[in-house]
Amino acid sequence: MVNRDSLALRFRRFCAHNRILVLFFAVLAVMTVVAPGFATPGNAAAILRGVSINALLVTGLTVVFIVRQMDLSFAAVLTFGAMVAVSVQPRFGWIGAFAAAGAVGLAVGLANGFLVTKAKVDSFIATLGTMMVFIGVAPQFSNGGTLNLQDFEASHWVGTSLLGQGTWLGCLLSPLVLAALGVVLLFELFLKRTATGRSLFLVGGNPKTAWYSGLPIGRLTMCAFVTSGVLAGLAGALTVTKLNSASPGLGAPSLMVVIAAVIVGGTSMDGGRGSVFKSFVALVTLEMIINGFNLRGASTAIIAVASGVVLGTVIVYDAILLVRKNRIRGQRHELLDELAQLENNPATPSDSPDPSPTPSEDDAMQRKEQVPLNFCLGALAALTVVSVTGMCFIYQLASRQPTVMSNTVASAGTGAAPAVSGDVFSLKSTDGQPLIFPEEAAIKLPPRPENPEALPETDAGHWYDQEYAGWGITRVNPIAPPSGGPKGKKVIYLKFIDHPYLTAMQNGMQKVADHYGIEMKMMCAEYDVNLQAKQVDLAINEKPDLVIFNAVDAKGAAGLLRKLNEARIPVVASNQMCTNEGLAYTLTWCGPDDWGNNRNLARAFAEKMHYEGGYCIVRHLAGNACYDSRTWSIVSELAKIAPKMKLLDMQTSKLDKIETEKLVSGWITRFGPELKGITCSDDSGAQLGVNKACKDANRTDIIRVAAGNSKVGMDAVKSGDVAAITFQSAEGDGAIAMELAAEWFSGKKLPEVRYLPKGIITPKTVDQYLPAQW
Amino acid sequence: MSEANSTQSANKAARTLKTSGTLRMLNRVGVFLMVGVLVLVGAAVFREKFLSVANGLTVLRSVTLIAMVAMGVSFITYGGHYVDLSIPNMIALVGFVTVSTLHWGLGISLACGLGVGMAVGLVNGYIVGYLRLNPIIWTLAMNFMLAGFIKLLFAGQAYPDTDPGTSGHLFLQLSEYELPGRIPLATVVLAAMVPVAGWLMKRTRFGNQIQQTGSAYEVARLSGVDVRRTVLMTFAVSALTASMAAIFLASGSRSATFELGSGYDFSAITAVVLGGVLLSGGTGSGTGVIGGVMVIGLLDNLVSQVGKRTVFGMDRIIDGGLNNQMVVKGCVFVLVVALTSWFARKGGQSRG
Repeated sequence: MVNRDSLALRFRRFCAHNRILVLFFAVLAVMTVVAPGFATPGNAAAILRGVSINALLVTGLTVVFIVRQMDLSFAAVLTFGAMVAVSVQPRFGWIGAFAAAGAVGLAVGLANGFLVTKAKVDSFIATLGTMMVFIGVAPQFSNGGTLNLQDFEASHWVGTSLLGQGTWLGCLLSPLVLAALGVVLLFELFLKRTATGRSLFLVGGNPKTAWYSGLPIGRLTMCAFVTSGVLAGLAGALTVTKLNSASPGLGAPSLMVVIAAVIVGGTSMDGGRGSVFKSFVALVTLEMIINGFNLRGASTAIIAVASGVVLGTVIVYDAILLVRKNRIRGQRHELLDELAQLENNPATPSDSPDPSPTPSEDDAMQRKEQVPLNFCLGALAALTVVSVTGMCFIYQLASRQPTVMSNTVASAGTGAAPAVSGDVFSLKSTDGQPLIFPEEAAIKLPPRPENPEALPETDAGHWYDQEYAGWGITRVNPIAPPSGGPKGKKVIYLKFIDHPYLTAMQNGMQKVADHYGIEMKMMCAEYDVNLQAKQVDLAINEKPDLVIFNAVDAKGAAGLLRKLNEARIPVVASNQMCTNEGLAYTLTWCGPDDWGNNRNLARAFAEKMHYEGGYCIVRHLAGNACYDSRTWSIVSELAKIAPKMKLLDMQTSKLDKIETEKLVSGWITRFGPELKGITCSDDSGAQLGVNKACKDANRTDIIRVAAGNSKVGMDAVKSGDVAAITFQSAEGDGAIAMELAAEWFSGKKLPEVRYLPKGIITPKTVDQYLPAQW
Repeated sequence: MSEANSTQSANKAARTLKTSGTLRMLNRVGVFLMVGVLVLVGAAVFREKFLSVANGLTVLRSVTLIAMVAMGVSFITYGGHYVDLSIPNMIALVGFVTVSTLHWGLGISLACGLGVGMAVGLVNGYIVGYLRLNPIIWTLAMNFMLAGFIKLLFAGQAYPDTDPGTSGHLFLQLSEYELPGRIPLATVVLAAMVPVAGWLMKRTRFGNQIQQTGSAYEVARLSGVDVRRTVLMTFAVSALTASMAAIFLASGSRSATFELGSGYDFSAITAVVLGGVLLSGGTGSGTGVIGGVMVIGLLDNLVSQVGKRTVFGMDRIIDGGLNNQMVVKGCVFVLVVALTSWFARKGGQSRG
């Protein structure tokens, strides 16, 4: 009996100490059962490749946590390191790129370390400051856009197994994974087996003792920050080898994931405890959750909840252990007494509910301590239950009306039968417009200028390659259509962000897929290039009949499209325009004719402005295709048709309402009556900011136009705040992509590029476009 | 001999006390000095364009909501618990709940919004205060979990009804209504909040308890302060002001979105730190926070007024855009915290 007890105790102690391993195997087991295709070598390789870059960050942050400090700057350093690596690589090769990125990391690490050890600034604050600086510096390095390389050989090499794909050992042996594992093991050994490594634990766990024992606390702390900085810089360079590009938003998504992994791995922020290896296992565990749910085709919401719940549970579990430890602290003596009593008369313990003969003060204390804990857990549980049920209820109530409406519209359009019946052109969007418009008359391409780059930016020719991307390119390695028509085919939709427009777009896509009986599955990349790269891996493993692809990053997508092509998976690129290098690997591209549409908008704008006066442009998100298209189409068109109009300024406001308000208010102050008109790249949040600023400054005379087709924008057109917006059917955007896929399955020849119909919505015509799609 | 020694040391002590007093004073008014300097710089460089009433109102409007959030966060920081990192998704959640309950009437929906926000704050407070979890870690996890729940329960965006006469229309008026003198409602709320916060912090028992908890947790506990409840209350206060800001934000955006509150956590803590509330807790004031927020607003405004400039033949390095603003804010921030911590050490306030 004693033996069994001690075994159970030992098991419990093992679980408590290695709970991350328990969690790991639990997730592994659940996902193997639940997610199809999870436990395959290909998927394991995808998971390991996916965590390889964050593994470096996790290592650095663990070391920083161990010395009881915080580092918030690593994600920004990764971005900046990647930018530096891209700029250095063409001249100095990969070694130079890695060295430069590492040097950047070293500099930031030294700066952080200096602020913390010498200036004695709290590390949370010091690294918050450096984070802000580098978030601002990185986009300026690339003029707000994406920098890219064309070294696909290298990116292919780092991601490919040295031993041959598809074996269990092989998935560990790609250079990318080996590099990550190497760093993790190196630091694990360094921390546990060397004097310096072990003294880091002492510095974090008990700085006073460390000081008394003569350790150079400052230098060791500095060392931790330098480690984190250098690893973040190198991670940036590694990202570049993998993606062949660097964009301003590259590192941001890693911040919270990495911190979460370190915490779940059991490294304490109070210092002195932690393990690089456990942090790595935690990172893999979190990745497995995301991967598994992605394989099941779950929505991003489910994935977010699952990761959140795992993180929360681990943290609360830690807290409970802590409270329990505090409760029995100093009471070992009495516990021993109790044990002795139990051993003396083993038959009695179940008789009395209270084992101690006289309820002492300690007991009262214990119960008192227990109350807040129980209350706390109770409150948490109650809150969760109440909020979930309550909000489901609210949500049901709130969404009832629109759902009913869209149902009637849909059924009116399609007739009752969902499967193949009638013509696909008879399908209607929720705004009553046709879902798919017949192809417009072919666009007449102007001749390409000799050297577009040499022309000024205000000349339309400068942007020729962007505007007419996809026309007249030679497809590389084309794929032959399958036989058997569209019915029963499987299509994966790689969405680039969770946005109401994309939700409407997905609905349109689904309608057409249902019409043809195509099976559709969606994965969303949350505007994160790394996540999109992972999802491409997943898609390749699933071997669908076709992929519909929204690029997160126009330039960065070339490598991913190439990869899909090499795996012999046909791609219809959609919505986000890619560069010609990428489009060469696709079947076709379809989406809004952003340049053409905004030229029309510019004409309407010029007419309203009577072809004169100064104007400003609120730009789209930097790195997005619309950042250029919704700016330079307007500038070049106005330069041509209204030379008297003067461009005063153009800025991005990240499409945020408050930022836009600030920006436009600043313009009104700066330019005064000179400012006569504003064009905006978005007619929802940003346009609200424009309107608010104009109203606040009593400048409602400023002519405002915007790109987009949202409810907010159409309301503004209706109320007269906005003179014109572009027509861009979100559902039609999705529908046309699926329609092209279906046409390809039926063996039809696809057009090189298929644009959505263009149009300008003015106060006169707005009613025919209502109700809005999103 | 010994007498001389003791007078000497007494003198020295007096001198230290005096210097420390001056330094503390400087620490307190430093942020307003910065505001003054920035205003002078703006006036000297941009003249009447900068000094216009319109521009002043622009700065004020741009910082009102950050100030509201920062005001609450300063209680947490004052109590020595850094910041509530779940604020972004707390704001998004409050926005969604408020907008989607509007059909029950404006009063009920506002109550629902504030109630949900407070509930999140109370949970954070309980877990940090009673279970003694690291505030950064817990609130970060909370932010994660809230993100998931919001995405699960609400689809994309929620819009209020904009037809006149509905409660949705009334809700939009919250951000559009202006008092005589063109002062928006949010600014009025903020103006009311400042003295209340100052009074709470400096004049009440609650404020004293926060200060004691923030400056020396163990000492406060041993001297009978209910430290756990105090910490809980600071998180509740922060959640309340964040929820109020969320309501104004949702009203101003005419919708609730997932990104409604993004960035508010870090900008709030920036303002709080600039305002002289030391992260080690126990020092600072509500007016200081307003000063910190003003510094941010003025910096952004000044940088944006600079506009596009060519430096060293490099185009677009200086364009007065968001990135420029970020870099300038970051540098000023790092400089200020380094100086503050130096002053604090000179003034003998350093702990650890």
